[in-house]
Amino acid sequence: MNGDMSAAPAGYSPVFAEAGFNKYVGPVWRADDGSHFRLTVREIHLNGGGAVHGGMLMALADIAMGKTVQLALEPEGQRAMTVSLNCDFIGAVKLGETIRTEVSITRRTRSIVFVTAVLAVEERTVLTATGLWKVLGTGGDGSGG
Amino acid sequence: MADAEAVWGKRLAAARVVPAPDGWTHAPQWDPFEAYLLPFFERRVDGGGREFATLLDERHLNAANVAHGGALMTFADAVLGYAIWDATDNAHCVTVSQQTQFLASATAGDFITCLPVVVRKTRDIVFVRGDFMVGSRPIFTASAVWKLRV
Repeated sequence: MNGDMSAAPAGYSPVFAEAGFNKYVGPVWRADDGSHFRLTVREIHLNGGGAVHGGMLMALADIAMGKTVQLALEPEGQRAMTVSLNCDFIGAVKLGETIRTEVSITRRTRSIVFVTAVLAVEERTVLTATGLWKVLGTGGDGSGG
Repeated sequence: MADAEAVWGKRLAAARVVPAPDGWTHAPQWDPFEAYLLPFFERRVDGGGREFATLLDERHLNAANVAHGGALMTFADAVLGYAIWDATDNAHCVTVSQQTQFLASATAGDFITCLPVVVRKTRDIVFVRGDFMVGSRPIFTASAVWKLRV
């Protein structure tokens, strides 16, 4: 039932799919050129109406946005965690369709990263998201910084 | 009240059976993704509403071994949807927008509860929110707008 790692699409790498949530529901693939992420819908991702569950779409946004933030902070040895994520559900996604996610960092301050994401199936936007990531170790998060 | 089974079809078996704690029962699950991912418990509260709970395990963790936002948002989407069913006689409905704030981390073994609140119901739209707790500690909060399918 878990993601089939042997089905790696050429030019993509899995987003932390060794264990836990990402392995259980994914894998989500990141294009090696950094342009986007992708996930192909399986039966386990569906709701009772036969469309992708809203929780899975929000999870996909969180995974892609979180990975993008992680890669942006890594060179300076920093980490971050999600503090706020707002998602608008624009269209439904069906079994077998591939969701493409594009992420951009709108602004990065010392302690907060502002992020947006658009999830689409071909030319059809299905979800938009905006989120805030807290940079750990800059005070107020109990991480000792 | 319209029977949820008649509205949504056959209830699903959970991918992993997690025993219900004392005072809680398994809530019926209708969505494959929820049945695959989440233990889902309920109990009646005074006034006729339902309180919901889940128990985190390794399926719900991220690389830092704390609960993944995706798992928590999925639980919120499920809980808020059940609250709307209770307020609308199991109307067909879909999430239009959900705002989630992550207040503190949770991890495997944490029992997360929520008593959702339907804030306002119009003909087409329902506003709903919930605080998600481990004991008395707030872990995250979610508010959402749902569209009723008419």
